[in-house]
Amino acid sequence: MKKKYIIWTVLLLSVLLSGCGQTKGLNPKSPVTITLWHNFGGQMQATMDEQIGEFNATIGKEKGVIVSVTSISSSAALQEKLTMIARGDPGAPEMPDITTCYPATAMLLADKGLLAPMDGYFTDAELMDYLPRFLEEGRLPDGKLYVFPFAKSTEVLFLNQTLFERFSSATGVTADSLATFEGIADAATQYYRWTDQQTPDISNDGKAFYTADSFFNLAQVGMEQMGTSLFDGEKLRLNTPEFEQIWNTILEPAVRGGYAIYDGYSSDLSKTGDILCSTGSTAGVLFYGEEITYPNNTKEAVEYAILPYPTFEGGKRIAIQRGGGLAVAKSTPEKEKAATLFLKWFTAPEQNMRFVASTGYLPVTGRAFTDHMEREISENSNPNIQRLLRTAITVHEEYDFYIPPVFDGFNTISASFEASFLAITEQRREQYMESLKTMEPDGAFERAANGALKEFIARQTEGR
Amino acid sequence: MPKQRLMEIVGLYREAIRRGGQNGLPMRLRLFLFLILFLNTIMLGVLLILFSVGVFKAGLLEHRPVLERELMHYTADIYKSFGNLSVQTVDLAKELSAGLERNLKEHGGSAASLQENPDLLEHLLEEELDRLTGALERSRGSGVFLLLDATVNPELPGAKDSRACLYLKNMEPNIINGMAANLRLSFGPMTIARNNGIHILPQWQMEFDLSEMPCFTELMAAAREQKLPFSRLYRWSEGTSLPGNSERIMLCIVPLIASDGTVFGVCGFEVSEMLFKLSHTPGSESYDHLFCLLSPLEENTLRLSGALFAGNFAAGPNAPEHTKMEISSGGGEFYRYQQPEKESYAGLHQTVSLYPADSAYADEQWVVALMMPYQGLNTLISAKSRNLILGLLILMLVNIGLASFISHKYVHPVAAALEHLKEPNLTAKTKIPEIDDLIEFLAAHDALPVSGEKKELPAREPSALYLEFVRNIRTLSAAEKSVFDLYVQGHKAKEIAEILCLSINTIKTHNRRIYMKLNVTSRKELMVYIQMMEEVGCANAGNK
Repeated sequence: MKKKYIIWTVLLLSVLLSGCGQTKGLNPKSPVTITLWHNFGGQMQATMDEQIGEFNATIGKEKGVIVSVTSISSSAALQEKLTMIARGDPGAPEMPDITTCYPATAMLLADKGLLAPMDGYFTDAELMDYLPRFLEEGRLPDGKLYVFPFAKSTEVLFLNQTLFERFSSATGVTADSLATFEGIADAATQYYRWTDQQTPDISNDGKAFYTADSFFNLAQVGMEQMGTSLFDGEKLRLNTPEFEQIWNTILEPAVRGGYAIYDGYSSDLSKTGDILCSTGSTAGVLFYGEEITYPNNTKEAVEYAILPYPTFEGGKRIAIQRGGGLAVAKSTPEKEKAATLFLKWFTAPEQNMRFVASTGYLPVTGRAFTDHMEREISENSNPNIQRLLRTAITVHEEYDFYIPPVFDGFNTISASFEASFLAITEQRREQYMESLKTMEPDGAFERAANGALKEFIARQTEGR
Repeated sequence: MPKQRLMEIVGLYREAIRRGGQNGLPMRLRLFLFLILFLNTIMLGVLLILFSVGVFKAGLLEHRPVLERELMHYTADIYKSFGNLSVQTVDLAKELSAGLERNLKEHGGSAASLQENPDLLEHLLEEELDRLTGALERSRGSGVFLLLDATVNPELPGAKDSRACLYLKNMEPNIINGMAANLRLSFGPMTIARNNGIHILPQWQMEFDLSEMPCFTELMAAAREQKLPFSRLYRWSEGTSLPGNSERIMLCIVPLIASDGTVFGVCGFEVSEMLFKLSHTPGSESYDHLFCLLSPLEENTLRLSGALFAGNFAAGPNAPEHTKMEISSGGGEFYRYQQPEKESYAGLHQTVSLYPADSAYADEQWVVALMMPYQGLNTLISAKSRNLILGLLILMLVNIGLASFISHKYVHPVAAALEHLKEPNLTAKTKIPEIDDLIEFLAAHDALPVSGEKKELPAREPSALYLEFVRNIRTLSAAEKSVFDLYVQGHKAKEIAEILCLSINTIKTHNRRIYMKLNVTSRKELMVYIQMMEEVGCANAGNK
């Protein structure tokens, strides 16, 4: 008899609780708000806002999810804030439900149990369509997917076609020669000489031809192209013939003035016509624009060519894989479900192509490449984006991606490498210019380049 | 399983009601219905009281004071932050005016001859970079700018509207305390960015095109005409976008005025819509659809084209449709805000003063409005009543459950005791005093010698049942017959057991078989027939 009453009581309570309690599923009548941090400012912000608005007004409204952007930061500042959260620093902000994130930062957060693995929210069939290399980068050492591919990029060669044609018709240097770093170095030396000749009354005032957004990336990819690696575990491998080849290829034009030594984005130099070409992220395409501005405020319309990443002579076609993804914070099942719903929608080919077409990031799914790319190229109004998407197809078909390693000290090594490279090349350049007063260019260069590699390796070893 | 059981119980009640129509209601059902009636009468009373005090109409009344408080809070907050920024803009203008004039003087120039020294412009701007970045870092603005009323190249075709400018944006105006501002150059000489390690924005331009921002020209013209102090000349632009940029912003602009009264540029701060959103999005969890607007007011219309919006994207009027909103009384506690041929909104608004009373722009009216789609408001109001009704329904279900439980719990032992009465051995106790009294009474009654009692007997003429009873005596076995005979002689069960040297259980077994064969249901009935046998015997003897 007692059993019967217990059953009745349980039945009654379950009826009551089902009336009062929350369901674990999403409910359009009681929408769940998920916060989002991203690092897409400027024009990219407009695209993000537009797409998030569309999500909220359509599928979000239907399913009961509201995405609310609560922070837009630079990539570095955002990663710093996430690192503060992972370390539990005083004053660290509250973890958002979704954030753009790099694998290194994701590892810190996942170690503290702050991230939700996303494998369980996607079927195998759904994951199959995402590019395997992109998914691979988002899987942390425990094998789980924490960083969902979303804004992936690679590096390409941006060439100011308009200015290059003038140089090309005067010197015979063709764009084909820019397919290799050795070719770029030769073209840079010739360009410096040619521009120097434009002002016969001022000597050694030639202009730089090329620069890289990151010489560290160039060295990493260069080593991979030559079949080896820049890293031995968490240490740099600099005493190798391959690195010496890379060093020599870069140093000479840098010292002679053909390469710009600049601690900033190469697009800043391109916008004023101070360089002709540069290697940088596809996501920088919007910075190039369709005109350059000279110091006297005169403007010139220009066209850019966007070419696949150059290789070292005899090297394999390898380009770096850059960019982050979206990570979902560990939260209630309801919020995690809402966040992954947004990710699925946002990275689906239709939405992903719109983001790609207005930002310069790469599509993340195979279907986007096969079913949507050609139409987007023909319909996009920005010629630079059109060229970029064509090049993205070539890179997708012909290149392999190099994924930089993930470990704690990686960013420190990267910063130290860049700083040392810029300091040494700048100093050797000054030495070269000084020597030119008394010496022939080749002799001045020999003198300036002497011991530069050794100094660089010493700086890296000593951690200066 | 519980569902099956529930169905069984419902079936039992249904059957009981059906039978009740024929034979009267059983005790349990009577009690159940009585309890239901009692409990639900109380509930109905509560419901009537709730109706009479207007609980179901309270939703609308209740939301207004809450929204009023929220509106007051946001209005005060906006008044304070925009006011602070206005003061900072005025201070910046004073410092910049003096600093630039001093610098010009050092280079042999003056504010009035600014355009005559185009080569000096970049230097003038760079000299003020630290002041601008410092002011931006101290402010709650998303950008700071300094525009000089001169161009670096007056010979160019567009030189009439082109102005030397330094416009810096803080990419993280909502920055965590202690972190340096993340600056980007939006307008200005590239050399300044490179020399100072400042990155540029993709939309970077070297100079500012005045034709894209008429409020700059208007402000300089007003300053030339009105000769007012800085604090009476600053102006908030309506929400707009910078050339080549899609982000909506508001600018607080002040003219640069030299000591001789020459107006030679403008400066000010920017508040981006993102910053406004991060600072003023209503955070109440109870109002998902609520959003905040800072909008210019024109007669009875909110000019949305010049407003800043803070709220969830799904809730507010979409940016492409930013036009205007007619304000009307919503016929209830809230105003109705209607976009032409669009969704209408319910909410409240309050004017906010962005200028001093004697400002050149004192007649410009701004309001802070808190609103939500009407649908959202209706959902909120009905949600409360719905919860109440749901609660009452649940209470009713609980009543039914309780009534069923209590009626069962109460009637079950009574029914069991009544069943017990039918049994031959009435010695056991039911623990219900009234029933136990009855059992004792009946037992005592049964113990009386049947022959000595005056009972209502079957008809003197032997009935068919009696005859059947007599006939059936022949079917008794020898053992059963000896027990039966001892009953006829007036012995009790216990005495029979002793006489026949049998256990009481064996006697009970014989009893059951005797009852079955003689077609009687109890010892009492058996004794009636035995008494009839005696009476018939006496009558027959008398007749004889």
